[in-house]
Amino acid sequence: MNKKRLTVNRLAMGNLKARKKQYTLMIIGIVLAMIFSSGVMFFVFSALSSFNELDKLSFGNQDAVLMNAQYYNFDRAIENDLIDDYSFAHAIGYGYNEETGEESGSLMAWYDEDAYELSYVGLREGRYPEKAGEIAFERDALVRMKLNAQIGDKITLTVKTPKSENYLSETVEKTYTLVGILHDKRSNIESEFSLNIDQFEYPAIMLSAEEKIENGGEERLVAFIDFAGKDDFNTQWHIKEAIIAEMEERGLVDNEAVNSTVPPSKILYFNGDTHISTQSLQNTEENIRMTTILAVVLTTVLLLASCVGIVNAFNSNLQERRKQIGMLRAVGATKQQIVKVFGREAIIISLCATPLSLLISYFAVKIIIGFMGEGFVFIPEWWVLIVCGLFGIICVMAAALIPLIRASAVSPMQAIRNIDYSRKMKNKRVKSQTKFNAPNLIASRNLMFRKGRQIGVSFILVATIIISGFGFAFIEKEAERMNSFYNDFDYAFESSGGTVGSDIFNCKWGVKYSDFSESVKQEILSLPYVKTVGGIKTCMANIVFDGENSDYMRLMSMYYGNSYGRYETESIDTYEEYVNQLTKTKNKRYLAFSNEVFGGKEFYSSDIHSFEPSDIEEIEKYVTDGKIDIDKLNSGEEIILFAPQKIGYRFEHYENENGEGLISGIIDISDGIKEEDAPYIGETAELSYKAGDVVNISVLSSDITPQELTDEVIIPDDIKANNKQVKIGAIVNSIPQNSRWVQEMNFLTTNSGMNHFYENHPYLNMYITLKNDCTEEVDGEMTYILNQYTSGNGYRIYSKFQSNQEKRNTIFALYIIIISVVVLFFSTAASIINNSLTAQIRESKREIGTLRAVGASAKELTQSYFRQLLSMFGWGCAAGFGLYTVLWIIMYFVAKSTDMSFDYKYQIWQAALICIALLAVCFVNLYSKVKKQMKYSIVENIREL
Amino acid sequence: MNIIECVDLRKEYLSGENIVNAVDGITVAFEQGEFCAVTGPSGSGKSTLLHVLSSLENPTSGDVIYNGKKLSGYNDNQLSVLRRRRFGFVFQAYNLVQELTGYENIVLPVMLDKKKVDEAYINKVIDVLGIGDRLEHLPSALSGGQQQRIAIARALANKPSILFADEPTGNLDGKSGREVLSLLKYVSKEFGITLILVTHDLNVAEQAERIISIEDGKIVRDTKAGV
Repeated sequence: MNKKRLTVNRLAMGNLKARKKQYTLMIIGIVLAMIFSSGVMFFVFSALSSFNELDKLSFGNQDAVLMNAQYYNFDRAIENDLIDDYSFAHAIGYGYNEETGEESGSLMAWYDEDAYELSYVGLREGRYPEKAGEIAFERDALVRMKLNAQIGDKITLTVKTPKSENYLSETVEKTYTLVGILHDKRSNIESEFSLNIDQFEYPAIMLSAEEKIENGGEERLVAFIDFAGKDDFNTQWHIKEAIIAEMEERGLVDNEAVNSTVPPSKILYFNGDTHISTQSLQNTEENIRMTTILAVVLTTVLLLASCVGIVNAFNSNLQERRKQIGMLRAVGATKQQIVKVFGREAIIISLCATPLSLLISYFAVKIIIGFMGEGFVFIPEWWVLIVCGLFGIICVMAAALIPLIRASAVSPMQAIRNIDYSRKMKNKRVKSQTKFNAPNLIASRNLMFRKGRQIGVSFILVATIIISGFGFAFIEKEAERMNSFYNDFDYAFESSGGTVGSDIFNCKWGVKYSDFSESVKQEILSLPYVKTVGGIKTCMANIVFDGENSDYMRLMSMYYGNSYGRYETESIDTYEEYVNQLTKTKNKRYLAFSNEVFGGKEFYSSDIHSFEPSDIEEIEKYVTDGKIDIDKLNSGEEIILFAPQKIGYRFEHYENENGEGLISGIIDISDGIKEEDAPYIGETAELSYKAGDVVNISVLSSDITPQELTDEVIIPDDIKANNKQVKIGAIVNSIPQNSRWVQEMNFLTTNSGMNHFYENHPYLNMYITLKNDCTEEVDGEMTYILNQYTSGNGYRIYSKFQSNQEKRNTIFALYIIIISVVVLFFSTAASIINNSLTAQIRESKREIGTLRAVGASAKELTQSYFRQLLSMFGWGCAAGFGLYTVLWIIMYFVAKSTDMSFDYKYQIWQAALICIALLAVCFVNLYSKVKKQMKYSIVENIREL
Repeated sequence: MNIIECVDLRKEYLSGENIVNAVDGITVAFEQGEFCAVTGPSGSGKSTLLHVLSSLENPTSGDVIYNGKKLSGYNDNQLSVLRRRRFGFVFQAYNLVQELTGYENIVLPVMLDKKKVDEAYINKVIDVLGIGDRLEHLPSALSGGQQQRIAIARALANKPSILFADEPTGNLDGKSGREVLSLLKYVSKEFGITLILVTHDLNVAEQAERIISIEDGKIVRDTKAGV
């Protein structure tokens, strides 16, 4: 016999080989547990990188974009530490397709080398233009101009040449070869593109640097700027101020206009929240902070769960391995030798399990991100895999060795006999039951003596519940944000004025300017791709009070700067003055209307907004009093009041730079005034209306236009009043996601209902939704058609089609992420629980045999194990839902106290469903395992140990 | 009257590539109330015979007839009911349920049968076996002899017709073994139970009214005491 051949490796390998099946199951358990952590983390981080990449492609890598930047000296801004870096796109033309018209065109620019990186232009197909005559288009621009071109095709454009802030009168026709299709910038796909073409235009067409501007033209610069400081409001403000100052210095700024824009330069902030047309980036920082907290929770839970999974997988044959240790020690193996043998075994297992799990994680994530749809690119975050791999190895080694080192410390016989368990039983005092249900009693005793196993299972359930709870709440929030009543349109016709002109009566401009009558709406609805057209009407309406005006109404007047008091104020020095102004002072116009139109009665000027019935029904969930009855709204019998429950005022006292004390009054409509907010306490007034109350509404109108409305004209001569008494059917205190900017203390009704207050009122805005299967080509077609309606009437089209598509993709991607994570959780949880049960059944073969010998049938045995399973689930679910609830509450209050946004719903039904499904899967596995044991004879059950 | 019998009973095992005839065509009958010892050298098939007779294992062929009914016609549930009501088992390794106390182990068959415990009877059994002070303990806190007494009490709990004992004294020291054996004898007489006991110990076998000797799966001798 060759003694040399019996090495530690051979012993370890021999061990593995001899128990192939058990070790395979164990390795599967470990691999699953490791995939669980590495896969999910790798996935989450890769997906985040992918989202981040998509974000940069849509918004650019710069902090701000400055249009018409040729007037500004950026080097000075760098010297002044305002910006770190800048780069230009050189706009040398404005190109459009003659067929689709000027409005569909775009600036054409070549980019400085650094500008590629700063603006983060991305190629969808082909390459960037390299020489004259080559051109690249953003995909949406190509569609919008109905060019229908592929890479390599020739494109003929009509090109206007920029000069100063305008264009040369002569246009030229130019033909280019399309060499690349670029990723759409959000500013181009969600823009007000029928406004003046030289404003707010981000180049959607790229040329090569070899391209020359037409003679007589002047290139226009678009600057991409990287701020020196943080991208926050202060930095933006300072830069804006610096730009204004410089413009003023050069005499380029019209002082009166500086507050709104910075002509002739225009800043578009893409990565901040000062000026951005989408809401998606609002609260970005808060979202990032919240996401970070969630990521930390997720990572911790995942790693712990993975650890539990690995320990559990090892526990499944721990007893057997303990016996092996006992045997080895009995034949003279030293502790070191044992640790070597089993350490080697653990290394071999780690070496099998770790690369396998990392490989599976890698490919699984790659495939899932592929499923997430267009625009998502797989950006592997290798460090996550490495960290998870190392963690996995450490965990496997610890899980394998710690119990075995303990086992090698006891005597051989004790190891063979499972001394831990026997000791535990010896020391335990239990009281005999004189009458019992055998399966239940055995189950509960098993649970009593095998608590560790229960803790493991509970842990994994807790993790599943928490992840699914937060995960689905997160998705729901995102989906809700996207599909909410106020965001779900593809195109909007928006008037730029509406009822502007008077705050008490309806002027001609506001009422009759619009062409959007019911027939136009029906015409648009009949277009082939249109699914819905929703219209909004708005008219001024006054609530006329029989008695004294309430403090609530006075405060509301102040809050919205309506007709009550505000215009008389020059300065406020004392609280008394402020209170007086808030509650007593009435201005000239108010008094005039009160006396001459409303017969000396007090009134409040508000609006009536009308919507489609389906939109009104969406508000139902926010109703705090009463009920929405569409028929009664349609008939003008009822109306909905949108008003906060409380309104309050408080004062702030501060000193100006001269050391003078000033008082500022603040009106708060969110929740009245709380004491901690108010060092100078004001008062809180409650809404006095209830559902069922009747209000007097007076809709005043005049043919006067806003232009004719001067300070001298307080009440037009031709004022007409439509007085109505109407019942408040429902009261809504607040509307979350209120992006249609309906203000508080206004009335809401249906468009039909509006006719009773103001007959044949045209639509102020219209919102158009396309059928679900519409393509980009349809978008181009629709844009072209809808533009026809806007020409010359002061309306603009606001298109969200492309960005909606992107958002839908994002939501879809989020669903894929969460579902993948949950599926992974599910399989890992099922594997861990099943492993645990299988191990227990394997260890309890003798007991099963004994129970069968004394007359227990398959039913009773299954019942006993099922009871254990149920108990594990019960504890796990209780702990899971409990912890989820606690975490949710903590996060809610942390968010509240730090002013972070936290609008995740308390979401448990998915988790409950997952637990039920898990229970079912485990039960099936349990049943099959018990059945398998029943296939053996009782003697085999008893003897096999 | 025969309480249990077997006809041309065979049990084959696969040992590597060879078929082992552990029980090789045995036909034998046991009378109500008799105490029979089955003996023979290691590997002779005595334990296998006991297991097949007591339905712990299925025969390869042949029939086991209990009270005139063939067990081959019973399904798994019916066999479970039969084991919990009519048969009692005492194993060499006691085979108590480790998580249940002595008392709970004893009444386990009654509880599985969802019947009321006959307190007087169980107390008598406990009395006879002398384990009244060990009932609250878990098996791991008991000695071998005490565990085997609990196992005997469990086997008797449902007033079985037959008590099967497989080397019941095999794990016990001489004194405890003798005590357990005399208890088995006593209770089978006291409660009128057929006792079929497998042993390789001739001293134990000699205590029986009938001794069946088995070699290579066949009965080589079947003698009654005093014959």
